[in-house]
Amino acid sequence: MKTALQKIYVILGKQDKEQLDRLCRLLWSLFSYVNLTSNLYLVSASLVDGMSQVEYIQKAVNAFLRANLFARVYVHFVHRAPRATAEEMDFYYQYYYQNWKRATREFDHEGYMHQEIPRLMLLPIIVPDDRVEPTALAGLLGRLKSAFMLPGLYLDKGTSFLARYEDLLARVEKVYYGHGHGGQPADILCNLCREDIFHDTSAKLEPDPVSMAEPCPAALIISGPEGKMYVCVDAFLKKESLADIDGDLDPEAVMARYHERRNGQRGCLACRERGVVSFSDVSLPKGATHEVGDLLYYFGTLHQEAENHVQAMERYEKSLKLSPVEEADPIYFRLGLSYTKTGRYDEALEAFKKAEKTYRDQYYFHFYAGLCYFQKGDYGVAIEKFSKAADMKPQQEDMVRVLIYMGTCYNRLGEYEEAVLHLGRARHKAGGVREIYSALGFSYFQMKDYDRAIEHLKMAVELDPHSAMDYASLGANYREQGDMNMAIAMYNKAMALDPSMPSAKDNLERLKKTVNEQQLLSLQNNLGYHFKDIRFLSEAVRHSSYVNELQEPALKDNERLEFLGDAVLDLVVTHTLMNHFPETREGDLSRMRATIVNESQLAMVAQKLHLGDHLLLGRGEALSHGGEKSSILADALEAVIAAVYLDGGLEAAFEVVTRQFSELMAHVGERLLAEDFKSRLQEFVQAKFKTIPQYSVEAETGPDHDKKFEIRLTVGTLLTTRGTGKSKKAAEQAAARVALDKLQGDAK
Amino acid sequence: MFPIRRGTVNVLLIEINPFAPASPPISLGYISAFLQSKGFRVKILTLGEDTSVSCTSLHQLITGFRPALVGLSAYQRTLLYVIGLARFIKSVDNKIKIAIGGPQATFMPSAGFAQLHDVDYVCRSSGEATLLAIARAINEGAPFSDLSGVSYKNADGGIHDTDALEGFADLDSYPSPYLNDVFDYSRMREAIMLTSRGCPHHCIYCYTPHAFQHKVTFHSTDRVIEEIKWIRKKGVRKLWFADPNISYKWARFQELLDRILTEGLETKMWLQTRADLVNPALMKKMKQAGVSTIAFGLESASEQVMPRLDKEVSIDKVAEAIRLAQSQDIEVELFTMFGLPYETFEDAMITLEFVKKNNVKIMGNTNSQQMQIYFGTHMAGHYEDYNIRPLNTKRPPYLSIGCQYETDHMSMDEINRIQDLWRAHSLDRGRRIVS
Repeated sequence: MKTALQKIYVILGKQDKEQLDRLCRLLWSLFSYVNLTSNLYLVSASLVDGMSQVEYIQKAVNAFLRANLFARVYVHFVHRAPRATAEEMDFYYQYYYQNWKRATREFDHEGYMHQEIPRLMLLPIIVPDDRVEPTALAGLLGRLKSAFMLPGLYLDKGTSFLARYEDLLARVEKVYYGHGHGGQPADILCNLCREDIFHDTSAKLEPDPVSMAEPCPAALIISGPEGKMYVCVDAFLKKESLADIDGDLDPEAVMARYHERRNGQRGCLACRERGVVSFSDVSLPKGATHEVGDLLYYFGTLHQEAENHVQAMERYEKSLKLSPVEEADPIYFRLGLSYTKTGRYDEALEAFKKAEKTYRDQYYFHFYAGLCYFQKGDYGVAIEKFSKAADMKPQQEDMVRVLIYMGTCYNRLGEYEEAVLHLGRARHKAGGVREIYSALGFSYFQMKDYDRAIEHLKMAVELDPHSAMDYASLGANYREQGDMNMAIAMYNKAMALDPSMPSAKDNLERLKKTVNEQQLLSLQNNLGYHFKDIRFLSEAVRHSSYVNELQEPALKDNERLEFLGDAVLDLVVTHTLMNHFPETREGDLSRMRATIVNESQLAMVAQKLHLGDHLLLGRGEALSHGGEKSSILADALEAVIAAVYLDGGLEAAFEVVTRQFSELMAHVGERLLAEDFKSRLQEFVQAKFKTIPQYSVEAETGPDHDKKFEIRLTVGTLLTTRGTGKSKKAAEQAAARVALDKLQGDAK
Repeated sequence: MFPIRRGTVNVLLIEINPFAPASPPISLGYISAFLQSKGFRVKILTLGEDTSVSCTSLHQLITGFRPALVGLSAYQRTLLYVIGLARFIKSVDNKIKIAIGGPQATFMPSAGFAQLHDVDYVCRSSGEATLLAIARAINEGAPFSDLSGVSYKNADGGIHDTDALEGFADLDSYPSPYLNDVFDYSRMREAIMLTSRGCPHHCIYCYTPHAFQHKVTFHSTDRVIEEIKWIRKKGVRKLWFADPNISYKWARFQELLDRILTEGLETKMWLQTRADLVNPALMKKMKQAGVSTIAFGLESASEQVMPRLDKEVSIDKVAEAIRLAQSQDIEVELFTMFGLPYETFEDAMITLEFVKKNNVKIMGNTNSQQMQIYFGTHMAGHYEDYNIRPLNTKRPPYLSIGCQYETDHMSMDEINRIQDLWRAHSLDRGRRIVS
């Protein structure tokens, strides 16, 4: 069965006969959908304006009750009380109320008074003015009560003082409370609805708080002045009307839409909460105040569970003001939890202290207190609290947490053996908790037992492969063990998992720098030159592939230095050759320089310096053994020479080059003679056979970094030889050497 | 006794009490389980103050379920609503037959029945048996043939009383409403149990002994234990024993408590009995089994009134029973009345003072009420002998005097005054749980 309307709230408009007729027709059609016991609230700005409309509507109510003997209706006429003397009040009673009562007399005697309460009850709700004369008001209320029109009193901030008049309250059936001052009928109506929702919410708290998410008691709001209907107070406030009351209404269609909207509502819990909150600053009787306190506490727990701690704290703090002292402990405890979650540890400890009486026998109470001290950095007190929690023998899972925190506290205090002891107990109880291994890793690291630290940290990352911190810790341990490559690898993993991890980033950079510096130190030793500014050398070993990969605009590769180094090398070698061979002609000097300053010779010098080990290459280049490539080595050597030049000037560069190339230059003459077989062959063949040798590539084999060329040499039809080498030039030389030997041998 | 037939008509059973929240109507539950066991489709509708039902939804229920027979429980204070519902049902479908049963119906004079225009039958015997006979008669197309235990009104409006009909002496013969899942457990907070029916005593104001011819019939403890187990399985953890005197047979009640304890069925329980049917050992066991509240009938604490009520329980005995219960930390409720025969205003005050003196909280069932004069009691037929003056002599014959009277010893004004005094002392403004 569909939910029946329990309450209809009507804001009465002006005394417009046509409008009133429409309203009565609407109500008549809606009565078929009201509950067997239903309430009709008629809210008017004044008694005088409202009563004639109430009497008109009453006729429709009477007709409904006569037709349905099992139905009951409570009619509440809500109106502002006229500010008047006792005599004037009496007049209002005589003139207005008596007529209303007379029109309903038949229901008082119905059933021969055997039913406990008549089917029709007239329940005026008086909204007094803040300048009302309490005695005069009491007189009116007394008259109403004696005539069995059980009156209610609506009190707001301006009239709450009336609650002090016991004589007044003794004459009313119910006191309604509204927040704010005075207010128009629409405001009063909203407060009446909210109070209804508040009571419904309170009634649901004890048996089944989950049902609070359900819509509030089925009500309908009709605004006469607007000519509109609303599903609930929330819709009324948002001006989301259900239908217009003007025109021809199909009640069945309206009610179908009503149920559709009601069932489709999602914000009922929030609306209930707003209703409860609106009563938190209203001066209510003690019992109702406590109910508000209870509900605020409940909503606080909902916010807390949803991790909305700011709102949770607001609710708890208000709840504390409204709840009885004997119920405060759970609120303080919950409040303390939210303070803890928001980092307000001192306030949390204060709140916990207030909840101590109820919770001191609970292990978790001491645990959370310990947590606050832990977060405050007061590890000694934290350990005391955690110990107390542990002594109360919590459930295994919680015991493990307690022990982990204790271990961590000892770590922070530098008492690593105690830390290991507690963390070991935790591991014994639950072997699969990452935090235990992580903390143990820290303890052992501090105890310089890197093997054990690594063992535990490896367990940690096995349990949680996404733990960047544990990878970083592993990096630190490997670093201390001197395994820089593993250290860098671990830091890299940490960075990949959490690029924002500052400690890992710093450590990685520092480590790389250290490694780099160490490596560059050996290079300097090899060079026989120690840089004043190591950055020149760092740049010289930075290949473009490495820089491209890092994509750091500030980082320069070695190509500019290579350009400069080429020139420096040429200059130094040329100058040296000039000095060593004062008689040699320019052409020969040029050839001599060429035998020294070429890729293969430079690469050989670079290899002797182990320059390849120091090169920073991109991942792709490193994988393809770029550090062994002649071209890369030769370029890097030139860059290194430029670095020396920039750091120490031409003199330093001169010394380094002379030192590194001295052997080459010492034998350059012989080498030139011995090794330039091509020139010698050409001179010999031209002189003797009036022709020149022809070279052609017969084969090219091997990978890029390890090529092998085979060259075929022909001297007319006289001779054909072959030579192989790592470059075409070397292979041509080899072929020329064979041909020269053969021709010179034949000539002899 | 009744041949099993496959019923085809639908039966709707309605309990209306707009003055209290709806609770599982145990009597209708029994009738429903019984009729269902005989093949009828039965639906129970409970209309309490918290039930959401409108004329439209009621109309939809009737046209949807299409009952051929509607049974309504009738009490003095709900009779107006019963009449209204009967009229409404007939307006939906005039062919639907309507029967009323319950305290107000059993001994209702035929003259009263004659004025209930929309009611076709008045059940005067066991509800299960009489409604089965009516349902079968309707099913056979001869709604007024082969009936017993009822009064009926034929097409001409003539009233016919049939022979009395005895229910089963062994209550286990009635199927259990709980074991047959007649009720919706999802919103049930407490289950109302009825392990025995009837009362052997002769209290002058009471209807029950007359309705059951001063006999008491019982369910076996096996059956009660089976029901408790089932109810607990359904998640209900509170039991309300509606037996007039649950400890009437001590040995049986002790056995029931023992089995609750040995089988681990301890449940929060409310029960009522006479003050002379408890002792310390029994009270201790009740506490162990989960009894949280015990209600005793005090009626009056005046020594000059109490002996004249034929209750045969001394006021001292009630005081002793209260102490016994309170010593076991069992909450006590006391049923009391004012406006009793021979009772003066001062006597009524003695009762109020007794309740206060014995530290019984005035709330719920302890809220006192004016004596009601029901059909079937000796007082109803001989009220003059008790110096009772009905206030309204023009009441329709379907209503008994109820509380509309004053006595030679207490005027209406005094009755109202004592009522106000009780309310003034009440912790819940005089709101009563059961009638």
